[in-house]
Amino acid sequence: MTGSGAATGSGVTVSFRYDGTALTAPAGSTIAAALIGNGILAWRTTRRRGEPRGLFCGIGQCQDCLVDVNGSPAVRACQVFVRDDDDVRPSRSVGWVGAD
Amino acid sequence: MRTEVAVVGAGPGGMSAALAAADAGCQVVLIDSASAVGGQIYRQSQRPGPGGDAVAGVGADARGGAGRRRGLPARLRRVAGHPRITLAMGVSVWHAGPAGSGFRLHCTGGQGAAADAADVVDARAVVVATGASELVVPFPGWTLPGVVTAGAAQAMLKAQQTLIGRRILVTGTGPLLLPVAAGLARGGARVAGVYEAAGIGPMLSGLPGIARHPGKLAEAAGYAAALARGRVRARSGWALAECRGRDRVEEAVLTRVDRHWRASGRARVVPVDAVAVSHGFVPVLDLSRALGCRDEPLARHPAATVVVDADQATSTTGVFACGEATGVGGAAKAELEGAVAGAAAARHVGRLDEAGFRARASGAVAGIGRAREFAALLARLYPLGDGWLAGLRADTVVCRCEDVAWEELTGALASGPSDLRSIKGLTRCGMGYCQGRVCGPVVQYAAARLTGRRLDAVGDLHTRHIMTPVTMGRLAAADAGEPDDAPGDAPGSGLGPAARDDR
Amino acid sequence: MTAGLPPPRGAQDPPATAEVVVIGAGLVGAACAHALAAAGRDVCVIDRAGPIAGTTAGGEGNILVSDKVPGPEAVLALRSARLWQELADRAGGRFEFERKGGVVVAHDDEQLAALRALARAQRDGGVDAELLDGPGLRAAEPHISPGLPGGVFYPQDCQVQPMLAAAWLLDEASRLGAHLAWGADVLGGDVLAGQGDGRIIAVQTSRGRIAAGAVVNAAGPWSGLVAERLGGRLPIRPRRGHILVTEPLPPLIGHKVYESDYVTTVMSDSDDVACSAVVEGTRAGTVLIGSSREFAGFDRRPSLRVLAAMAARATAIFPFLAGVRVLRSYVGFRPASPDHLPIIGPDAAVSGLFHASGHEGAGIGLAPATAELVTALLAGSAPPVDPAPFAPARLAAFEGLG
Repeated sequence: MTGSGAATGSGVTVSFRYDGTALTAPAGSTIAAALIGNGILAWRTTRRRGEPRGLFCGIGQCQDCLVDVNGSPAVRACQVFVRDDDDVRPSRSVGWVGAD
Repeated sequence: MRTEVAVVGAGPGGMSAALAAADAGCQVVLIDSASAVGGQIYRQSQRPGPGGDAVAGVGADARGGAGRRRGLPARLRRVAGHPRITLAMGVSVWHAGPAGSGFRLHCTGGQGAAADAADVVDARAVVVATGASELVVPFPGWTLPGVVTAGAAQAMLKAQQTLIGRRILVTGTGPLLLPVAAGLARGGARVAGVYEAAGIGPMLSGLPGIARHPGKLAEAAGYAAALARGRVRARSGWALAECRGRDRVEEAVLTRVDRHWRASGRARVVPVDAVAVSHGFVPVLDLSRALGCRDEPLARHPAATVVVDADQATSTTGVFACGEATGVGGAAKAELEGAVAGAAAARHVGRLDEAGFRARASGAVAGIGRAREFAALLARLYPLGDGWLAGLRADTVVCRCEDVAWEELTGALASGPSDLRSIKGLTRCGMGYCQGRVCGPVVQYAAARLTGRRLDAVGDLHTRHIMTPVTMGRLAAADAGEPDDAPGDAPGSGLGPAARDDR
Repeated sequence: MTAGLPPPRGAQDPPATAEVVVIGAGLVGAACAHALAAAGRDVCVIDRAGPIAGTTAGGEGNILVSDKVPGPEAVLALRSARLWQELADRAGGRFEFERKGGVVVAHDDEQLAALRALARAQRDGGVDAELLDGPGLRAAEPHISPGLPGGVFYPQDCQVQPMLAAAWLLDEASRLGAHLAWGADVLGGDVLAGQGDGRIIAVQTSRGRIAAGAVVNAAGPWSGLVAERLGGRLPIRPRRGHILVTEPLPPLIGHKVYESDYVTTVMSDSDDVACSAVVEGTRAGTVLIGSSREFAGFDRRPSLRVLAAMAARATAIFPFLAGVRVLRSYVGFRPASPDHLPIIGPDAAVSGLFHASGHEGAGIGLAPATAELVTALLAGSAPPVDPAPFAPARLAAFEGLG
């Protein structure tokens, strides 16, 4: 399993936050891989049942892996690359992160 | 962006088609929603590394292939740097239709230069190489975190050098299970077992057929050897009955099954922290349908294939198809068909005359025949059983996006809805973010079985006029191009089954 | 096959005889079947496909009084909205009925003045209407475009999930004894020649012949075709509409919101496509966006040009929508009558044949009152509203159309 906390320095490791917690991941990681590499398997709750979801199809088809990134709601974690200082938050399965 | 040939899908079929068309002199745009070429089977590492060129969309050679290197073959790697091929990676086509004497593909996404350029692609010919999506039938606990498709486990490993767990069960049915398990084992995972639903009987009866494809037999033997070396238990005639766990999967319940996948008593509980499951593949048809191409439903599988002639031409003039879209059959079939499709596209736009086309296409014909024969064999070896229906509980989710429970689906079926569109309207199955990509084939299959009707009589959810979510602002700014005189279904009286409804 | 599942409704062959045959298992047909069965009639509902296979699944679920100019349709709509509330109370939330109210917005002062004049006239007819200025509009809808000068709030407008409603009505009808037969296409009718007009005595379907005392044609945009097969005549044309569906959102839009030119669009006879924004949230969280009107036969392929126009108009009213993603679009066919009024009542030539069609985009809202009127007309009892404006006989002037 790819671990966290490899050599620091831009280009090799990316530093980001998930739900307020500071994490790192290898450069070139998708958000899904970055979270899974940090032992986080679920980053979304379903609208109707409030159940935890994370990766499912891994290739951008199933839309199960939705996560909020830097204010962009419900993006596919398996398709989006994590970048330095990304603010990644759990998704509530809606396309809106502003104040209701 | 204006081009001669647009190829959608950059797996082996699409790459082969792009090369064939470009080698014949065409300007080609090769589009794929992934960040790099290769499709699923040649999935490239997305990490910085030797041999990778992120801008060109060609990743570094992937590690973790089953038993041998599965890097992108040099003959296909040529797409990067070909003077007449423009790569548009990370780009999704959200709408497609005829425009002028060709077709207009409305695109979203893209990185760098591709982002600006690929807003709209006008092409005189299109090659559909959109591949297939994975079929997973539901079972209690399948929505637990840690339960993923076999393709996801493979993609995570190849593209991201990440294992989905430390103790991974591989299960389901189909030729993908062995290579995925072998790849995971090679990648350092503890594979808790490979449990294939198809029994040993059908396998043995299929051996003569497989023996006609010695390369495939050797490949399978290689995977089996890799698993044996890793002391991974492999079983036939077993299916996953349930996954259990609190916040993630913690154990898997497997049962011996008969050839209909009905539990035949013996159960085994295996501690796991991840499950990779796959029950086959379903060709992706939204683009081909948007372009008016006819497809034909399969009799025993909730899927359909794009109808093509010997030159890979679809029922829409100027649109060609190759690869999984014309029938799930793997990389070799895709590559051979792609070569013909690309040459046919080149002929269509006038870059090749008939003789030139024949010279390029004739060599592939025999190989395509053999590849299709092998694909048909695989379909027989790994049929879809219906025993899993009996394993569903009232609260088992059948539509993952909308959290629709099995009892809601059966309740709706009690009203006697005539087709999947009506079932969707009553249950919300297929109305979520994935628009029926995951649940569509499952609900189609369940509805057909429960009401005693044929799969094609129930309909499907493959038609999507908006093929990927696109913002309202983007839609408002879309330029439809010249008025459509769309090919395919002409406006009719509305009588008879509406085969391609989108609701 | 899973054991224990009972055969679905509609699977059995239709009976050889029924007092009333209702053709069409969409919302209007379902409402008619329910009302007739509740009145003690022996009913058989048939559909060439099954429940909600047609226009009902293509609508937004509008129950509007706001978009009716004063006149017979407005009267019917008011009555129907009350009947909807009664049905919803009995159904206990089964079809997401919401008395959420409608807000009609004007883009400029001229439109606002016209809107207000209409609202005053509607009030005279019993429609509640509350004038809103700019701040009032934004209080009602915080996310609405700040540039809109005002509008009118109609508290009596409601929303429903039409497919679930039709399914519930059919279930209730079935419990009250109605027979359901799906996959039964109307092939023809047995019309007994008599003095002057013929009388329909049976319907020939692809699943057998049903002797009938009366027949109700609720086949939506296919009503004209069905009428012809039964020896009658109905100038109905399909008027195509598009709908866009967004990704799920938290509740950001509280009412049905639409542009003031919606009414003129409905009433127009133009063959060109006309778009007018209609925006509303749903219980499921998605926002539905309409509307478009055009005569395009039964072409099910959405037009990108129309979708783009609808998206632009909706975004002009709710700017936040620009960043919201569209997940899908669909198309529906409204049954349009030549004078834009529903066609409810006895066929002009064939006695025993009744029509319940031509609702053109208002079918969901008008279904219960249509069913009530049909039930009364069949029974010969006092109709709850004046039936003359809806009578098929009035359409003799439009012969040759449709």
